[in-house]
Amino acid sequence: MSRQQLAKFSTCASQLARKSYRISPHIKLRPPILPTVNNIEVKDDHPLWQFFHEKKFIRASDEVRFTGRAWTVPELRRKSFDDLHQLWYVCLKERNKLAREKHIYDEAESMSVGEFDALNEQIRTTMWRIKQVLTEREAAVQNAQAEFNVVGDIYLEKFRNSYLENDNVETDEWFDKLERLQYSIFGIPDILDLSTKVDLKFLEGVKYVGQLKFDKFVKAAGREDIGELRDIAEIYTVFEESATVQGVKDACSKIDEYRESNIIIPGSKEIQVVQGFIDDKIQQSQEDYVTESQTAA
Amino acid sequence: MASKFRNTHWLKSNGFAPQIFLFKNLESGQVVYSQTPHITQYQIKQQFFRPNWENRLPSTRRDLWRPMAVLQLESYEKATQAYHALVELRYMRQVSKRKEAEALRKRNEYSQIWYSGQFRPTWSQEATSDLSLVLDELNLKNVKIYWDSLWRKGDDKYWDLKKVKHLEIDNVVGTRERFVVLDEIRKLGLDDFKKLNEQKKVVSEAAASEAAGAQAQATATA
Repeated sequence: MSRQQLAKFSTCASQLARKSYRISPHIKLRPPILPTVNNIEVKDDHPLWQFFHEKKFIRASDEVRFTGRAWTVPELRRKSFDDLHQLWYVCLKERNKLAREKHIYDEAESMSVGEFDALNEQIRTTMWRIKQVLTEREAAVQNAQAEFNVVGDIYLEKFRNSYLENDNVETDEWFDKLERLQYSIFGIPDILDLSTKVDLKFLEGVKYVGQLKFDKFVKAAGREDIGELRDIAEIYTVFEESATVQGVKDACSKIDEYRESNIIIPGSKEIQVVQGFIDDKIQQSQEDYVTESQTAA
Repeated sequence: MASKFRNTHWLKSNGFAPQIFLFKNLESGQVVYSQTPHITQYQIKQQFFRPNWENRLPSTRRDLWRPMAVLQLESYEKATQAYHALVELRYMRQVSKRKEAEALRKRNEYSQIWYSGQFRPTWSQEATSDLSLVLDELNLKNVKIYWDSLWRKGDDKYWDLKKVKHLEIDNVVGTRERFVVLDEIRKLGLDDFKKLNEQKKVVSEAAASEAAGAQAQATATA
């Protein structure tokens, strides 16, 4: 085995005594090299920038001095849920920024912390008032639902009567009323999606709205020959169409085709059938969308 | 594998690249050099000459050691030379030039080495400084340093950027996969070594043929 292959680590081994191999014993030690942030590249849209105001390390207390006031509850009551949701997160992010800056001032034992605390309190007030408004709305909805359980039938009867008695219901105002009614009472959304699940309430809504449209427009459409709607498929066909004379006419022609098959869906299968109709409709619209986008491309 | 000194022949025949591994202790910030990606009692006994309360003998607990840097050199001889040099500098800082080293360290209000808990940042900063010193003293070229974070490398003025390339260890993976990452660096090191050898071979062959041509010409003229 050659000398170099000896498994030795010894600073006085003869083969290492060559001047060119070892470092000089008179070498001057260098001071420790400090790490530097200049070597780190931070992308401009890094999420942690959300804890910084305009990417500044810290704001002076003058910049944080707040001459406004917190939102009041009556002002917040006029805002939609989406607006309140946005406002909440704007407040939250601002409080995060203030908390980070306040921590730095605390560490330095500075007296400028007061301005940060004051603004933080203002924002916190806004945030609990948002919660107050949402709680009021939630309580109102729960009360309305509880009341509806008692007087709901009377309300629906009244609505039905006013719809049938009104001369012109083919207006945006009545379309909106119908849409709000079916969503708030029966939980039927205007736009169906994959998460739409049919339950008893949903079914009740389909029957109510379908029957209402049929009763209103069947005479004007000249289709009194149809008679009573026999099963959920017929009711759903009317429900699906728009709340107009033409809509009911179209529905009636579909009902004619359907009646040729002599099928009557039993009550126990109603939910299943309506769910199937909705899933088919969603699938159809997805296929149409894909075809359209391919054609456009 | 890391339990004794490994010579160039052993490293080459066991599939290691000409690399030196620097590991940092998570608790104390102490750094240990190794020829393989492992820490054993051998490295600790070899590199801690005068342990004291500020520079305690660390344990070999595997979860406390993280790769800090991997120094890749152009040949196995240079790698072992650099390893010797780093250990020797460690000896100087702890024994022979202790006062000089202590004067350079950051102190707290009680003139102790600045610390927070058991952590002393000076150890890793000194290791970076020794790396820079070794590269300059031994005039090493075609060097690559894979850092755990480029932040640790410090300012560019301490490095000759024509001779050293600074890269970052892939830190997208978790710390549990660090040995996989080190193994990938080993493979990259072997590839680089092979390419460098091939380049040298081509250059030497070209030089040899030129010399032969010149000699033949001189003979013909004579």
